[in-house]
Amino acid sequence: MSGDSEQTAVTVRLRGDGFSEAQLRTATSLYERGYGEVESDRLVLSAQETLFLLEEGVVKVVDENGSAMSFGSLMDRYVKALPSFWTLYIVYRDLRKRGYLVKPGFGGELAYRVYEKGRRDVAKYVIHPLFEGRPDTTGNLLNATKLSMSKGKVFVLAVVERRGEVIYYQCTATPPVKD
Amino acid sequence: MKIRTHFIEGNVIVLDVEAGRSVFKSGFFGKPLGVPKPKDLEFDEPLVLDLIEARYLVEEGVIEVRRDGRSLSLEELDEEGERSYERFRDLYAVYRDLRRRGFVVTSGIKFGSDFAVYKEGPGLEHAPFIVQVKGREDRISATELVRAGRLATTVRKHFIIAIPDLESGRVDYLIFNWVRF
Repeated sequence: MSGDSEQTAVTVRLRGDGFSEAQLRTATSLYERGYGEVESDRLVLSAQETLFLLEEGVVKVVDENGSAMSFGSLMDRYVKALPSFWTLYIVYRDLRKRGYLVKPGFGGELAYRVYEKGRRDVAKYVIHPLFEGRPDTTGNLLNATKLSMSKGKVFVLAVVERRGEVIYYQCTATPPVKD
Repeated sequence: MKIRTHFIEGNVIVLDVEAGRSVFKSGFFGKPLGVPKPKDLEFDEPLVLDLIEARYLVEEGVIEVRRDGRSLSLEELDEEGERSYERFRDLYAVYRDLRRRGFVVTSGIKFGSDFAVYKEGPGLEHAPFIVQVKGREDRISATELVRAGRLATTVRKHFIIAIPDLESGRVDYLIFNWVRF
């Protein structure tokens, strides 16, 4: 966390639906860096974005009553609403820390869309998390791979080990080709 | 003229050495008895086929499998196969699909998987594909994927899960490649 960003931390307010929002005029720099969606005069941030920006010291998060929230209390709140939130956050955070622009995916199976570095028009990758200790079925994985390929995306499985390390595998649903 | 082979305790043996060589040569089918890595095609041992290979060669009209003085049907070979391997029909569906795509398919047991799949053949290339056969309801765990992926990337092999549909005969494939993100 840098002193500079703390001085200029943007205040975002939690909403009842798990999202948070900031006045757009105070948050244009966030939007320019690929965070949030604009709704009229506000910038609306997802739970992952809110927590990550709080961790980075870029925003100050206040609850519905205007009280400032710590990283721990905000995390607790999100995990209460969605038990798998922690592991989903690990993947989000890992990708952001690697410098990728990350957006919500196409629903539960396809958690995130990720853009090639330097691009923000069309996402290249779809990220599907697989957590150690929580196996998926082969059929689910096949369907998710086919779905993202049908949308023209590269399907990437993010394997999250027990202590939070993330390993990425590209996965394609095509027969091997003898060239 | 089909090559005559003999069914012996879950294996299929080509006793005639010339015939065995020609079967082996036609696509690395079987293994000369007691020769783990045949250096050339000039072996003098009987050729041992597993039931998956034998069933395929019967289906392709290359061999007949004899027992008690008569040829076994495909159905009988399936039954024998199921007695020998738990997932015979699934394994066979994948084996046939890969063979028909032109690959050389051998046992993957040395790589801890169901099949090792070559474009040319063992000894002719360094890196086969590693194929694991699974049903749609089978689970895939993070540990399993990382283990397979690690093996595959250290020896530059792709790791593939093959998912056969026995009703339609169709096989789906999931090909995994480790990526640096």
